[in-house]
Amino acid sequence: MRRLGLILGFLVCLVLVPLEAYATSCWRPSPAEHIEQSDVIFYGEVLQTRKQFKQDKHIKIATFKVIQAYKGVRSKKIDVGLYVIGSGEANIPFHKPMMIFAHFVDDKILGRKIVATGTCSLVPYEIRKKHHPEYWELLIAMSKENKTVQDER
Amino acid sequence: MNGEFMRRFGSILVILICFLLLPQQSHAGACWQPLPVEHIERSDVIFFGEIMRTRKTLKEDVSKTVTFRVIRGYKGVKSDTIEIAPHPFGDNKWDIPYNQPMMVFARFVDDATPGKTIATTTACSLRPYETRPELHPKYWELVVAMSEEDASGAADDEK
Repeated sequence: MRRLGLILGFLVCLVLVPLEAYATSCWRPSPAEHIEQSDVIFYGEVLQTRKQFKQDKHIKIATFKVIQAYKGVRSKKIDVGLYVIGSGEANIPFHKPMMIFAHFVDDKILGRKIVATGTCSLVPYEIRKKHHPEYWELLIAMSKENKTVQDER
Repeated sequence: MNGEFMRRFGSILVILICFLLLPQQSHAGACWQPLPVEHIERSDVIFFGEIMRTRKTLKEDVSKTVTFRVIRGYKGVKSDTIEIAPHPFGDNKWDIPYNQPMMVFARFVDDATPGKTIATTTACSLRPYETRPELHPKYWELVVAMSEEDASGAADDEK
């Protein structure tokens, strides 16, 4: 019975460890670093999603309504590939505004550059609410700077 | 006779039920929906923080005085922690989870002790922010600008 318990415990560990690793495998950048390393940042909500196919492969594309743009966005709507950048496809709910951090990526399936995000691009903001004031301060300061530069031009 | 009585009784019962239900219905929709600027203006205390501890007040079991750890203070906050009491006449069914930082809006009211004020809040003070995430960028823009003004004001005072 003891041996069976040990084997069972070992099996449970084997099942649990990858989940733990999955949750902790994303990077934990400082807000400044996270913002700096993202090409596209905006606050928005998903309007629709679709699968874009090329031959037998596809990627999932979400069309966002941009509520407030902070970096790399100039239109009111933006298509973002929900992509495997970190540890899996980003799970983004419909009509729930959220902060999106994305990158410009050379998509191998579509053969062109797209804006894409993944779980690990979103998690550093989503799960660390304590850092939200710092994120907002930096983003607001950045959009003010951008506005000033645009006004000067 | 009996049938007519039953019909009348039924009508009265329906009206009574309607009267009983109406206040609850209007209560649910009774929270104001102010503009972010209005909400901020009419709050004496605004901060982003998380619950450290709660204690039940003596008067009611459901009312809890909550001590918050202030992550960032924006208005009316001068220390790292602040005690928020339930408003004596407010809807005090707060749904504030532990270890979940949130934006808190409160007002100062006179305490039972003369000359003392306490910060109080109600569910209706918190909901305009919590339930309207599409307005969060505007809220943050305003509170950040406000704290920047305070900081520059304090710097001018030091000079």
